[in-house]
Amino acid sequence: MHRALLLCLFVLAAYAPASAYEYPFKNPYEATVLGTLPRDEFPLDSIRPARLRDLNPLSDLGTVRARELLLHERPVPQILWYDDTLQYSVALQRNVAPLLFIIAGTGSSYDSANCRFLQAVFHRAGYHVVSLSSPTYPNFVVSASTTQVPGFIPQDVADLYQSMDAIVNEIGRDRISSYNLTGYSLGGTQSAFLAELDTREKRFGFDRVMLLNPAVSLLTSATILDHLLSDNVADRTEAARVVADLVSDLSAAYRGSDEVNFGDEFLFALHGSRSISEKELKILIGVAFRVSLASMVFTSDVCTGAGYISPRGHVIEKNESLSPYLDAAVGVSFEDYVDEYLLPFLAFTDPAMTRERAVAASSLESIAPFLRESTSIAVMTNADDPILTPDNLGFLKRTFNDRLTLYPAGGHCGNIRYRDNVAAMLDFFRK
Amino acid sequence: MRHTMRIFLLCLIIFVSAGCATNGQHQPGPFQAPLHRGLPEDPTLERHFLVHDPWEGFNRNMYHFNAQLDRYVYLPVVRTYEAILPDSVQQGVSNVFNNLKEIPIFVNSVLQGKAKKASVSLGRFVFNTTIGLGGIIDVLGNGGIPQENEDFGQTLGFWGVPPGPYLVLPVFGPSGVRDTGGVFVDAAMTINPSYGLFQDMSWIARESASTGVYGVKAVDARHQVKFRYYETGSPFEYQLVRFIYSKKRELDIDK
Repeated sequence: MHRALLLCLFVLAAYAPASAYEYPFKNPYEATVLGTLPRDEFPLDSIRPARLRDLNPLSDLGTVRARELLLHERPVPQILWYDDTLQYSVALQRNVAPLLFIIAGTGSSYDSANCRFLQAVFHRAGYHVVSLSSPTYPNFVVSASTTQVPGFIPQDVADLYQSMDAIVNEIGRDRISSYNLTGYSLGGTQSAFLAELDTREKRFGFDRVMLLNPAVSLLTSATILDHLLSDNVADRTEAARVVADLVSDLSAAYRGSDEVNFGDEFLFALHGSRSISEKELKILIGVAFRVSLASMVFTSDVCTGAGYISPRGHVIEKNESLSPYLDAAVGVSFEDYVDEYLLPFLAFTDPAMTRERAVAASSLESIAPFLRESTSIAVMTNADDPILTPDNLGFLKRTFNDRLTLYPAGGHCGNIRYRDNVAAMLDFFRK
Repeated sequence: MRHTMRIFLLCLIIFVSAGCATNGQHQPGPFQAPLHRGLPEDPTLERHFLVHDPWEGFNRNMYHFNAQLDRYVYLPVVRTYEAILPDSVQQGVSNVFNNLKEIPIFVNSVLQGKAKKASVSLGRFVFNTTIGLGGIIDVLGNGGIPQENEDFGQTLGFWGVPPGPYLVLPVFGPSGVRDTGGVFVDAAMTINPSYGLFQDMSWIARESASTGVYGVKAVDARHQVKFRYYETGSPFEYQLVRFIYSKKRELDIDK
């Protein structure tokens, strides 16, 4: 009886208009913070159900393995001793198969929720999948970055390219039938640059490349995120107070509930009972960006010993409190970082470098002719993505034409795990 | 306790002899930032998230030590264990040790007058020990009645004992003065299953069997904890973990 009913529902669903996009959060800031609820995620079972041999405990199919690789033989600062090797993850097929690289977004690791999800999807779809952290992630800065000063895209992309090459050699090129690439947020932007670099270096020859919610210009998008904070709070103390209030409301909700753990839906449940205002959402996004930036800035400063946060010549001991450094590092906005640290560094290594040149080189517009011609590169983003200006959207439309998929909602990366989006990604790579 | 000490010392020896690979001293590069942001005398930002931590120097050293122990000794052993044994066997081992934890959980629930938790714990122990074949199968857990979370530290907290300063313990990790006391009381309430099983054996066989049980217990304990040092990726992880640990304990006591 139930089965018959379900079947009817399926038949009905098949006739529903294909254009309806039912991603639930229409407010872009809500979408960015809450993402995709587990019930709206793309169902993994629909790709390929687990086969009997996958249940063999001796086979490692279906298992994601965290791996590490030593890329640079150089001393690591004592307090960052654990970041001497690049950490990444692989999920491999048993036989020869196509490979997909996934590049994480700003400040995120290979183990971020989006990377893990996409890794599971494409592994089930028959790909070897390699997830890489963003060059802005502290582990990458210490272990894989040549300069250890992240944020200048041409250099970051060159470092990513070297890492990918080393990882592929580790896996074995004869096991790989073709190379594919995707990345979200800043990782999307970097994917475009990687594709461009590969036409010159020719180590992979990418079959298909998909940019998910890319920033068009790193500085423009980062400045928007800076302003989410500076426009909504008077100072850092107020930002800290807003977050502390939210934590205490979360705690109260946890006390009153029967839930044993903070689940994925816990924040959503709280959002139902005590609505989080748009201003609070903006502050949350701004704080998250600023805190991950602080980790990056401090890590880079300790590696170069440049004396930006930690006094030059001072060696931080492993028993030293880092509270003053956190306090100082959180005060740095992305614009501060660019003007007070990144640009002086670039000018130090190349006296001909100017602000205009550095900013332009970190924008997709610098490789626009290449992107216009490359039919194997596609973009998936949202009309309400808060990191894009109307100009940025115009650029994407002009450059990619019908290779741009624009969803009406989803904010910044909120709908990457949503069923329609993942289905479209699978379609693109399988074509 | 003596056995735990012995294993701990053994680990320590392996750890020291494995030697933390030193690849020379890190030196600052030629680039000097034109501006130094300046370090605040009295950091105020963390005020809302601050935890009483007067022994921060000691604690940070211990955090560092634990992370190195984890990386060079503990995790390689756990990974080998996970690679050799099928998942079902690993689950069975975890279930046996978790089942023995029901005793302190029951006692602590009673000490706090929490009748519902006490009965859940008692029921779980009785059914899992009998129908669950000595605790190998978590019958009630599979049926939707998970293990309660109670320990002597929480009992003390329930009766108004303040948490005391933050304290990072060797091997065990984040704790506090009150909770450290609780760990010893709970340990005294947990039985080593080998005492009953190997009673009739010779002294040497009994001793090595119980040392073996403690060894497996230590490996299983790490296997069950998802936490990995420096997984947050942030150089400020120590502060984050300190805050989350303290907040979580505070909330657990209210539950």
